[in-house]
Amino acid sequence: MSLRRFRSALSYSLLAPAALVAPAPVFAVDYLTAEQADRLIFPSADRFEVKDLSLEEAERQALETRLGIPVRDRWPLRLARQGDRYLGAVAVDDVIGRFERITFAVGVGADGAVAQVEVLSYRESHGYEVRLPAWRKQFVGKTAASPLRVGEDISNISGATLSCKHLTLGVRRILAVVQALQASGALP
Amino acid sequence: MSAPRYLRRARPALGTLVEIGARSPARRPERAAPALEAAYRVLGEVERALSAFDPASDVGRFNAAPAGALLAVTDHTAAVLRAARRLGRESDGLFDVTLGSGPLAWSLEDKRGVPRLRKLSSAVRLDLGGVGKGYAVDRAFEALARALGGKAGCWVNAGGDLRVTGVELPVRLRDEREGGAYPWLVLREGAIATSHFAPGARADLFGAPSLRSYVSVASPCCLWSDALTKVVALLGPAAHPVLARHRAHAFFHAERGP
Repeated sequence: MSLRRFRSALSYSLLAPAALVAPAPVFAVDYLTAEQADRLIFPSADRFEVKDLSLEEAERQALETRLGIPVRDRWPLRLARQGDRYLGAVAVDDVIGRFERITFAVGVGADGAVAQVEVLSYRESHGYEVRLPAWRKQFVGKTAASPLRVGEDISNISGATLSCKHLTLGVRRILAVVQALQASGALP
Repeated sequence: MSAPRYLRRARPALGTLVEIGARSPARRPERAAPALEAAYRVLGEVERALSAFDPASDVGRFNAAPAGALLAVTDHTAAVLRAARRLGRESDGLFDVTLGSGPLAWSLEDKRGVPRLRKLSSAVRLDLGGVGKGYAVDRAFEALARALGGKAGCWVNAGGDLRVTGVELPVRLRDEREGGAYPWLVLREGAIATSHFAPGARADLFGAPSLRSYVSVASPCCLWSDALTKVVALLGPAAHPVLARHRAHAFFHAERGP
């Protein structure tokens, strides 16, 4: 490397902190659409029936108390069937962490146990942005968008180990909701 | 539309989010999806052996066992413990998977190819958190590369501890204070792991709780990268010979912001 190039590299690295004022780059990955996740979780299903199910208010409140996190009342589920057989249901939900928003699908088998968890999308930005409704809204429906392309960004993140606490709670919430809907007879 | 060039999945595992990615093999693109599944299966296998939270795991059984117990353990546990023992020696005992509860109170034996773990005091507890994730990444990565065959291009990233081969993988560094992920380097072959040190973090950098920094270690495999971030944090510049022995390089990144 010539001295001149070395100098410019050095001044670049010295100048780098000035870039602090610029907003942190948003990091985003779309892994799967909800439909792709359905087929991955229940590969033997020959069809998926969409059902918009609701929790009774008393049930919803009981779940919130038990889980210690908010539980919404409406749950659009996709029921996996193979012929007449009910294989299980897939629910999609998202959780907000410190800097990230994770949209994920959980398959719950006919036995009421988690069959599989798949992350549909991962978005990361400033902590304060992640909590803004506008920031969250801009990604609604994004996971159903474009398939992967050649030249796609395959960036990965290193850093302190990402905590999976929120995602674990989110999976537990779906499991509890599906079990409640099974117990009430809304699900097979 | 052209076929997807990369297949990527992310699932919760090892207490974090694990992304596994692969370039679809040009001649056998159908190999990619089963290869990813194979890698996730191996992750689950290692987790079941090493988890400190699972009473049925090797570590769970060891921690609950009375002094003098001799337990048959998996090859995974034996491999991690051998690596931990080696790092303990190389760091003059600073790297310690018993977290001070009894660094010399366990021993590994081998009976006709079956590793057995002896517990020498009732107080000793194992916590493989400092090496287990890196080890799991390595095993999953090997299963993935094997299943893809040929000149595989693939990676495994367990919440920031990652290993890659055959792909120019841009790696960003997460800002643990404000969020966002800044471009840092491109990794094509080998492993990177990062630990973050700041007041309130699990460990202190150089024993000084006020220091704030990221320590990243690049090396040929993730077990050493993962474990060596802790050794570098404990030893500082004195870690040089240990890093050299493992063909590893350490990076310090200052925190952004005031």
